[in-house]
Amino acid sequence: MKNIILFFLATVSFTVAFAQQKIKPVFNSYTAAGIQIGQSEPSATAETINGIKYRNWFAGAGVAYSAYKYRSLPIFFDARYSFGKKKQFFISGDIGYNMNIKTNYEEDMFYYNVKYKGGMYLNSGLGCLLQPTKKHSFYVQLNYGIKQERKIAKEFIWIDFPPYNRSNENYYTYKYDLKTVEVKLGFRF
Amino acid sequence: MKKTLLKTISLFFVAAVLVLQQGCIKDSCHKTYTYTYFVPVYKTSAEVRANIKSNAPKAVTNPGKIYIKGNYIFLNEVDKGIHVIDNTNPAAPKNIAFIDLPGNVDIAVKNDILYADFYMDLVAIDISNPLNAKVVKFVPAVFPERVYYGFNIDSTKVICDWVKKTETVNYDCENDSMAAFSGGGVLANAMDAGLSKSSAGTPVGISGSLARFALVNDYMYSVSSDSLRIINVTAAANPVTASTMNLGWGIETIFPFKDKLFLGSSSGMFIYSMQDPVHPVKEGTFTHVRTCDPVIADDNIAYVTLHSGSGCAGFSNQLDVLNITNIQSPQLIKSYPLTNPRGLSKDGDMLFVCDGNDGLKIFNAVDPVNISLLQQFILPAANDVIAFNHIALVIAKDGLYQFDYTNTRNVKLISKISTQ
Repeated sequence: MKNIILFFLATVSFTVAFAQQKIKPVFNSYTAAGIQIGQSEPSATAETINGIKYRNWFAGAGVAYSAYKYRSLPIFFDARYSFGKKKQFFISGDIGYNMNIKTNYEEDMFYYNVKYKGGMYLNSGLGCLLQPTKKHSFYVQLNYGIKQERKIAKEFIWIDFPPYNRSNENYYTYKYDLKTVEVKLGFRF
Repeated sequence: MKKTLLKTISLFFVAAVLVLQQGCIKDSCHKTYTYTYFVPVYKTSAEVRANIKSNAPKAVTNPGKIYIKGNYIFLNEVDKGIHVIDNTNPAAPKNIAFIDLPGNVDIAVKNDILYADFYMDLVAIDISNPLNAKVVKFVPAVFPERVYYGFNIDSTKVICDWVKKTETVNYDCENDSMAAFSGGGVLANAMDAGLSKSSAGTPVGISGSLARFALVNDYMYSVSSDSLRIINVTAAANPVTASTMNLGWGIETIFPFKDKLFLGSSSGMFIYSMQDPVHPVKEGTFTHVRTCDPVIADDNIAYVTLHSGSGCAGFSNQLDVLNITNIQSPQLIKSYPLTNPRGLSKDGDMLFVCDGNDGLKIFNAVDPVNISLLQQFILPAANDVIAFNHIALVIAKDGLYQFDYTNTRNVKLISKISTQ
């Protein structure tokens, strides 16, 4: 986890440094869809990342859709570094916030009040451009991601034993770190 | 080129499988359960009994049932005792005393004797001087259902208070055994009160529509969830159990009118004849969906509120108006949708309904088929009301309200005793 954060910070530093050398940046967009595999049911994911590319470096911002366990929209910063003879390989790192987008699940039917909150989003991966050209190319990517979810569920239970006529507030707090491996196919331009 | 492509994709899938096999994708889930429970505080029975008298007034914190007798309001503090409120001037009621009575939830008054439950026992208290109330008789084991199994450690100790405690337990979601412990859950405030009307000059007082005690002539009728107990109070200071009847299940409230007893239950309304006061006979039944339902009645019409939540099954929230001209076969005239109706009261053509967080609703009920809203006061968790002699007493979560409805078109709030 720490390595991913360090990697991200290093990437941002490089990007800023190159920007100061008056070298013209190039706009790049990465859009991909794929599958997330983890302990829970496999699910679909999609993302789009837009940013600036300079030589081997790219930095941008993205938004993703993740249906893994709890539906969410991670919003994040992305940095990636290309390498190889044709610069066809790249490694990437994302850091951001996992924004929850659904709040009613069947599993919560026995609670009377459930609130979902998002949490940190981290993702790193290795990618490969397929038949790369300067302008565009398809790519495949293998990622490892963690998204955090928080759920606070209050329960309302009528209990007919003493002391009567009291109100309790019982609640559960769930803290999830949902870890997945993602295989994505994307298009870069 | 195709080969390279296939190799690359294969490489990624192999890498994915390797990662999956390393167990790096095991979700972690940490669960915290914060729950509240109550611990009983015991005193000796002798100590508690010696303190059942008029003591210094206390602030109202958890108001229960209300009862009017003459110029006094007796307000139950759930499980703790009875507030004595001098209501000579309804615009400025005075909280003058508190009768410590652990385990008390129901009250009724005949002449100068106040009857109250004291856990399983019935206690008769002389209130001829409300500032100097004193016990005149204990009748043991009248309400056997009020025993607190598991808490009554011995017969010499009495639960006089409960201390609320909160605890938090942390554990992994996989170790979900705590889920089975979630029974220590929330109790909705079921502040009760009811209405059985008589004038201030008559021997008995007035209770609200959620009452479980009803005084009729020389008998006090008390309902538990499954039985009706008849207590002879011919000698007011010497109550004696006369008989007990099994009623089935789900009885909630009792409302006497003339020679009839109207029992509200979770499955319907039952009408009993009191021609033989010691052995009431069931005459009529009106069945509705399973839910909670206080009931009041006048000569030809019965009003039943059905509400959901707080231990009540069902999802109905409405006022049912019934034609009871034929007692043997009550007929539904009309249902009026409401939010979460509880206690109700009627005086003349005015119908007062406590509608949960919608507060107090005052209806013109001159035409049962066309009951119309006259006025509404938003109160938090309005629970019960007694409308009598142009004053409506309303119990809500935050206190005891009094409204003057002398001018039926302009009902006014005249006082409030706030909870603390």
